[in-house]
Amino acid sequence: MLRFDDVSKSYGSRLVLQRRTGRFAPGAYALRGPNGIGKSTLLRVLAGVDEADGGDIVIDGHSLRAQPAAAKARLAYAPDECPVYPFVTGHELLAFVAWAKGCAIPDKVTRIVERFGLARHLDTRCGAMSLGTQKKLMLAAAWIGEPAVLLLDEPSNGLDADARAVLADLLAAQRDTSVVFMSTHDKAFADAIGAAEIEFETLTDR
Amino acid sequence: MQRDQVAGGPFMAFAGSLPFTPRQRRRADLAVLLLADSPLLVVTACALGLTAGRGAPAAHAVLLADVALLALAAQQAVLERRAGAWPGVAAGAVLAGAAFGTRLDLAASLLVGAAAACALVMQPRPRAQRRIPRPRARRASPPAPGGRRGAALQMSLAVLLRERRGELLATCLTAAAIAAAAVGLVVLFERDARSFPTVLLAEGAVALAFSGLFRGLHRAHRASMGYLGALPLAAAWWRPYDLAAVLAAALPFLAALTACAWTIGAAPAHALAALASNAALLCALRTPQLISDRHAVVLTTIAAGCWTAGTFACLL
Repeated sequence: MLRFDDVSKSYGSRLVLQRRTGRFAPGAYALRGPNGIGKSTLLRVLAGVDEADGGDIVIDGHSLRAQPAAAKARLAYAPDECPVYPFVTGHELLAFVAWAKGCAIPDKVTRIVERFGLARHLDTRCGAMSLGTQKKLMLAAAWIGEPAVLLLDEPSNGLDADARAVLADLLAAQRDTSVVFMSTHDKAFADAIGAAEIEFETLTDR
Repeated sequence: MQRDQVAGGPFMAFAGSLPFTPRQRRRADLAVLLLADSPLLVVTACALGLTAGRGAPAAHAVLLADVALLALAAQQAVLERRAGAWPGVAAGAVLAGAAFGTRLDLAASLLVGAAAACALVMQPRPRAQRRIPRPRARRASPPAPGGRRGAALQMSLAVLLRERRGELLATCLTAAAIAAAAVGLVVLFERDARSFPTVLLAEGAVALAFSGLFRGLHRAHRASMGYLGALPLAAAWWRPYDLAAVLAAALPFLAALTACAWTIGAAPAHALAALASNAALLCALRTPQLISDRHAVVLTTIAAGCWTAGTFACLL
């Protein structure tokens, strides 16, 4: 479902990713490694936010380079921060993501919104939300469009204990049908999902 | 315009937690303001030199210094979000201006200068505490079904109406002033049909004014690409929606000028052609507005001038 071969990325003269390779079937995977090693960059490149300098990325059978729209329609990405329009409300953002993915907001997302206790914040502008609320919104939006691959950057960061438990429950259920590929330093959270630990340095051909 | 940059940007949120006194912060702000205002200060210094060289009365030199001090005081008021300082700045400007040329001009200018200098260096008074609004119980509302096409247009409209409301309002006021000036000239020309070129020029100027909104829209979309880049959307998907939003904002002014052209006896086909041409001009100006941050204004003005000349050639 998620495959990437020899993916490289540099910003100017700074090489961040060098020939990273991985193949992942449905399941949950916790990407681990020290700060600054390139985990977030890898997720951004896999999500198509940043274009890889080289290599091939395949999402559910669609090449991200050759068929970006089809590949992106099958993935969901929740960044560590909330880099969206600060002046749109939660409602508007969810509607926009649904429009982008060519679907309606599924009932499942409505239930996730309720479980996260997010419904009363949906009329608040993203810029006025707390870090945790922004995170919940990004995570709830990830379930729009039945993604085959979920790319989550530090998903448990900033969440309260209840929301963290809800997220662990949701991801544990999702791993049967999708690839849940996340970077996290939270070992207890990864264990709660039953995620296999992947050391960043091992993502090579050798 | 550059309040955030002069204030220090996001770093100042952190610096606010450090034990700096209000006086120290104000000194730092003043140093940055003086640096940012160096072109104004150079002009003031040159004017002072000219005044001294010509042997003008001392009141003239003091008035020039007052202008610079009042400008600094006004900028500092903006920086510190002290709306209460504005009446003081306005009163100082009115007093110095009204007294100029009278027997009291030197005394008034000295008074205004001293007051402005004091306002600049004196420790700011702590601001009155804001009244805390009573928290309102919010009704939890489920997400709407969504997925509709309006969601994309809503993003462009939200940029204009929420994030860049001040810029939109200023542009609308500019366009209203242009339209009013054009109508005034048409009336001055006794509604002669030969004043149609004035209306054409005004329509071009309105298009030019509104084209500046494309830059803010583009920047807002680019800033969100860290998330939106992962969605299955075409590159620059926002282009048609930005065009629609800016056109919707400009059309009332263009339509008013078209109606003005109609009333002075321009052929309806010509008036409508001018409207269509300037609506197209507005869309075409998006490219020069975005092609280069530094030269956007020059490029856009040249493009608008050439387009308007072309419209003249076709319609007149």
